Amino acid sequence: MEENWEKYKQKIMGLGDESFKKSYYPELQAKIAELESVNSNLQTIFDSTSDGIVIHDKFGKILSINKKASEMLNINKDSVTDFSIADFFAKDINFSELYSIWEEVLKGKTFSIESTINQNDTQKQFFVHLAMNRAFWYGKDVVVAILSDFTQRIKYENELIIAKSKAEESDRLKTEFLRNISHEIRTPMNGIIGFANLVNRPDISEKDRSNFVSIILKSGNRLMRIIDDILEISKLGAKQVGVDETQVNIFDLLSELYGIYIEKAQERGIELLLKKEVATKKCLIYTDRQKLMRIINNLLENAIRFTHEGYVEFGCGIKNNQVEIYVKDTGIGVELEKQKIIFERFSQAEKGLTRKIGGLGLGLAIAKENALLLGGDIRLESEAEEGSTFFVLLPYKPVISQDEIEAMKQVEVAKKDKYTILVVEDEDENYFYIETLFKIKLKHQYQILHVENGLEAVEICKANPEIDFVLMDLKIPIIDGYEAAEKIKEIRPDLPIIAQSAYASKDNKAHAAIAGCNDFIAKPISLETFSKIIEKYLSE
Amino acid sequence: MVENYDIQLEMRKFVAPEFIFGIDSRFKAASYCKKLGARKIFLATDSQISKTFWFLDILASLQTIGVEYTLFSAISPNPRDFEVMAGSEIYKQEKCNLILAVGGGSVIDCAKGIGIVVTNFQHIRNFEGIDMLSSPIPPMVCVPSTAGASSDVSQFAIINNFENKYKMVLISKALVPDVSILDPIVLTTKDLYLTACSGMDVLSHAFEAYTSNAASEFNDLHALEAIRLIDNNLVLNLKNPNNLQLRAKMMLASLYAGLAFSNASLGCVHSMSHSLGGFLDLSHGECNAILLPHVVDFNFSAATDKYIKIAETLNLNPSGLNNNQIKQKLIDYLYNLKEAVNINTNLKIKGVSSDLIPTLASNAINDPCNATNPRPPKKKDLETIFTQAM
Repeated sequence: MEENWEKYKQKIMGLGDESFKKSYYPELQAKIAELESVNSNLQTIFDSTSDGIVIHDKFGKILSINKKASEMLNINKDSVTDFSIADFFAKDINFSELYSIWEEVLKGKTFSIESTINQNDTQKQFFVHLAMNRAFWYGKDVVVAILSDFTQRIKYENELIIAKSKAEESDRLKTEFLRNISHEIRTPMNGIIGFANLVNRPDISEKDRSNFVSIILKSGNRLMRIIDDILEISKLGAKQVGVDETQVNIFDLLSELYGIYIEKAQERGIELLLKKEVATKKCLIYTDRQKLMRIINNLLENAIRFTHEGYVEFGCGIKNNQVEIYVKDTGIGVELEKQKIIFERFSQAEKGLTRKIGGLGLGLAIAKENALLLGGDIRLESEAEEGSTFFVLLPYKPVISQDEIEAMKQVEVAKKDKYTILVVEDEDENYFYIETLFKIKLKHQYQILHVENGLEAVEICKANPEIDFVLMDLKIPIIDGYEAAEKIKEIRPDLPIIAQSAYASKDNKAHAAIAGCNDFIAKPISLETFSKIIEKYLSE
Repeated sequence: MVENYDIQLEMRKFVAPEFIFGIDSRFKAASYCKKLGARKIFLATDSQISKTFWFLDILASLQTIGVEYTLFSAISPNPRDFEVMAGSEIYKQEKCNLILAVGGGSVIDCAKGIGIVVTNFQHIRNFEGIDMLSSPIPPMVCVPSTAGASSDVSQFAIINNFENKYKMVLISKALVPDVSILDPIVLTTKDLYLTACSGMDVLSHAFEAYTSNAASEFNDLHALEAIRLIDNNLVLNLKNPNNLQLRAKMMLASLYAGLAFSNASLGCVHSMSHSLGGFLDLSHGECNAILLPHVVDFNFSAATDKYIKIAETLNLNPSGLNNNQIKQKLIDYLYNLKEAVNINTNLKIKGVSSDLIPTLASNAINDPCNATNPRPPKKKDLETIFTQAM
């Protein structure tokens, strides 16, 4: 002990560093620093929660908010005291209910409500889960509200509800479709099986037999169409269809369809009108011919099917850098509320119609999806009982430039106003078809001479030097087409002779060329092919 | 006039609390507590004081100012370590944050002990010695009631190690209270014997601080003034216990002596007195009164100049006398004073027998107060002094 006295004495006098730490000040400083860091840690936690935290005095006046709440309410942390909780509730909230909840919270109960809150100064609304409880804050009773934003959840919920009803509708449509399909398939199948059973019976006349066969064929074709439709819609649905763009003359395409549908229209006693509002060369665009054909086919088919009297008119124009093809009818029309769903799969404006008119209700869906594939769309203007107009809109991708179009106009003027054409064809139906093609292609600018055998053809050429063009069937009586062509070329070497035949073998083609034919077209002649030939030999 | 002596240039420091001195200053206690941030006050006192009128004044002012408090009065003279631990439990339970100690040295020392435990989280026995605290105690306000121990201004706390029967000395600058409120009115309820013992305690503080080897000019100033005030007023005060001037002078003496010994520390009177108080639970002031003349005798040769200065202060006219004569005059003075204040006792009367002396000396030699005694004692020296004081 004694030896430590000097050390003790020094400590008691307290001049060493040891005695400093016994002062409050370093301790206080440390405490202050600790409290400051605790406070800043709490603030960090306060501000990093994903929920908004709002601290109110007992009158609802805001005392403090965290970062998330500041974002949600769009108020600055420095100006919180200008606001009260009531400022953020939607105007339609039940304030007396809120007031009684508030009273309960002040008594110490915890409350959770769901409500809509309006953001300060904006139109933005939030759906929030609002948990309120009483707490102690700087020596005062306060209400702490935790705001959990579930706007996104509500959005998802709504989307789910829509998706669910869509799925249900789609399911309903599919069921409907299956019912239709069985009916649709059954009807032609009945025809096929029924008449196939009868066709071999010995006791029926030749006339009936041939009738039965034609019914079987018709039914078979109808079945085929149904199956094609189903395959196509499923391919479209599976997005397995590609676009194959080539040069297509839309007007020629429409003319071709005119040729196909005129008969049907006449059968139903309605007029079919094709209107051309654009120069022929302007109609040459890049698109997928097959798909476009399919679209217009569908629309025409529907228009004729659903029109009982009046007319079906179609045509094309170019507007706003878009090709607009329209199909207008005076048929039963489509009610406004049904106008959207008729483009959906398996739907038909009137379910009952299916029975009366037939069809799967796939046509418009196929048309629409094809139009979308082509970068276009289909639009409908219609009123029930007043008829409908379908507009097919396609991107206008012209093959020739504007300058060429202008130049072309000049040439057209200089062209001959009337051509004399010789058609050598022994079958009436074929002749009628060819005449129609000329009508479509050349309007009134032609005169047709018609002969039915090779000899007459040679004779008429001798007698009529104004003949501009010969369309020669190769299989004709007396002298055949090859010989006739040879003879005509002897007289008129420059007269274009186009061979046409159902037998488009290599040999036939070579034979025709040797005989002097300028070109060879296979039957049945498509309007497109026909147009090319006409343009090649007559427009030059 | 040019001064003809040199002052001490060796480095010293002086630590003192803020203090308020004067009539009715006790009413300030509550507002000082509040100023120091009191939320709940740990009010330490003893059963005697809690019955005085002026203590009720303090309670009333606490109520007026609206600060809560918890009263703790289970403190005995020579406060015990277990009392400290019990108090600290209450302090924690009641979530107090400030200590108001109203009482004598026992109450204030015990309150200091409680303060240590509540901020350092260990048993009070772990803090025996110098600078053993790692955290300061809570804010502390004192209203001293004895004009003796002066724990209210000192860096000392004396706690009885009850199991081992000795007084632990705890010294730290952190044990200096924040505020001391010195109201002479509180002394009016003191009995005469306690007044005498306290006075002798003050005198021994002043003697030991003045002769301490850690003394300084400013300690000396206070110590000598304390000696002068005791010399002039203690006996008078005992004759006129209701004279507020005399009570106030005793209080001032205690304050001065307290400031002096807090900074210069003490000596063998206290090391031995602590040993006696711990072992036999004797009154501290009484022990000091008995021991002081014997320690002066032992120390005189080591601090002759200082003792001569004391003799001058006591108007013992030392000039012309030799050292031995002066020493004797001083010792006689102390005996006479002890008698004059009616402390007519010695260690034998107090129950000390010669077989206890080795134990008492062993305990005393370990006391840190020896460190500043002008003559470094050996255990044997302390045995001799104990024997002389029998």
